[in-house]
Amino acid sequence: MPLKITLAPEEKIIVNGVVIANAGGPATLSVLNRAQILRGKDILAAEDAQTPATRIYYVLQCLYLFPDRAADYQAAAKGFLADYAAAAPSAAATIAEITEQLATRQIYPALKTAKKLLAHEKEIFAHVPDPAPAHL
Amino acid sequence: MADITLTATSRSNLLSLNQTTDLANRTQTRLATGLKVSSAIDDAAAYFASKTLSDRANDFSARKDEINQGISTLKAAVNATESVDKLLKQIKGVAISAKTADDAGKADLGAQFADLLDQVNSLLGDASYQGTNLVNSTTQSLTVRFSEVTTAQLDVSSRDLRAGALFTAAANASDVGSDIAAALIGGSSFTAIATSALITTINDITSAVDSAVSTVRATASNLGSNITLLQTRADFTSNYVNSLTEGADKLRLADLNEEGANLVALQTRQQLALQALNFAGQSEQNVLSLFR
Repeated sequence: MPLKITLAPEEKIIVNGVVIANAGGPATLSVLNRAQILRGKDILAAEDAQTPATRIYYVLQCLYLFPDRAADYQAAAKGFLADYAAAAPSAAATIAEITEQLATRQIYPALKTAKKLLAHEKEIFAHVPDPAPAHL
Repeated sequence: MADITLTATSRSNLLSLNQTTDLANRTQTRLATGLKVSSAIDDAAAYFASKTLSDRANDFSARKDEINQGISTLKAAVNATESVDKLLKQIKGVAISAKTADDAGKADLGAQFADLLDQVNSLLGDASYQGTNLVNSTTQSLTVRFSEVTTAQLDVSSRDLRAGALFTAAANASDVGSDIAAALIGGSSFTAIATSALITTINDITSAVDSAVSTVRATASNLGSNITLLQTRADFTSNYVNSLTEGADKLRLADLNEEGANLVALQTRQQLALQALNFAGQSEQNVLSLFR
């Protein structure tokens, strides 16, 4: 079952480490074998990974896209997940799910689950009346 | 140390770092468990109040399982009454057919009649749920307890819907037909009844079956109303357990404000410790920078 992807003009996608941009009109791609694919809108830049949850997402994204250094990213993800779980126990279920998915090498599902973490963090930050300034 | 001079910025950074570390450490234990109050030492009043609530919630959860089992027991019984209802209709049909049948037909119908009565009994015998059978004797009963209060419970006594009991209860003792009905229950046949008495007898049998049907239906409706009652009670118990758990959680769970503060602290701590995401290799940086 090939994966069908529709790309809007200018939309970027990364396939096995190759960044592909749609230079023309709307395009539809069929991916016929397994590959590391991530759409541009799902990609988080290193500079934007400033909060605990975005950091987790960023590391998982790197783990997914760059399997060459999987060991490093796995270790980093483990640390970040532990930090997050310690700071916000209400995310324990989500963290457990991600850990489980990582353990069974389901990296893409783990990335999807990490999006829940982003939402969770957003919700929690809404409870902080006056967050500490980002730059001290 | 005198030959190392820290700038004012460094000092303030160091101070902040220490503060955030302290904050993290102080709340780490309680947050690791997700509980603000995890033992009596933290806050005795809140701990015991919360423990009472969650214990009670646990007790009621157990009761709820019991109620659900009770519902299943009753459902099994109601199911049986519905099937008995169908069998009785069939029995009535067989009896009516015998009015006009010839001798061979009567013998055949008599056998069917006896078979169907047997089926009623064997069906009722199979209708037990976890050892409780509410429809084939008057000796059993189902007790469902709702809470630790002993009066808060529902008792359902079993009824005997077996053919013998049903027809004895339904047949009119002064009636000739009732004896014959009883004889049929015992395994006789329509052919044993004199032709002159046949029509009257069968009318008696059908009216006996009719009253048996109404007995069965009354039983079904009674059992059904008990199911509704238990269902209502089960719903109440669910909601009640929720309220109790919610109350207990409010007393014990770490709140979101606190978690928010912790996440901010975590963020700040990492920034101060200069743990930026600089572990990404050059090739990764190159690829990702294309998405800016």
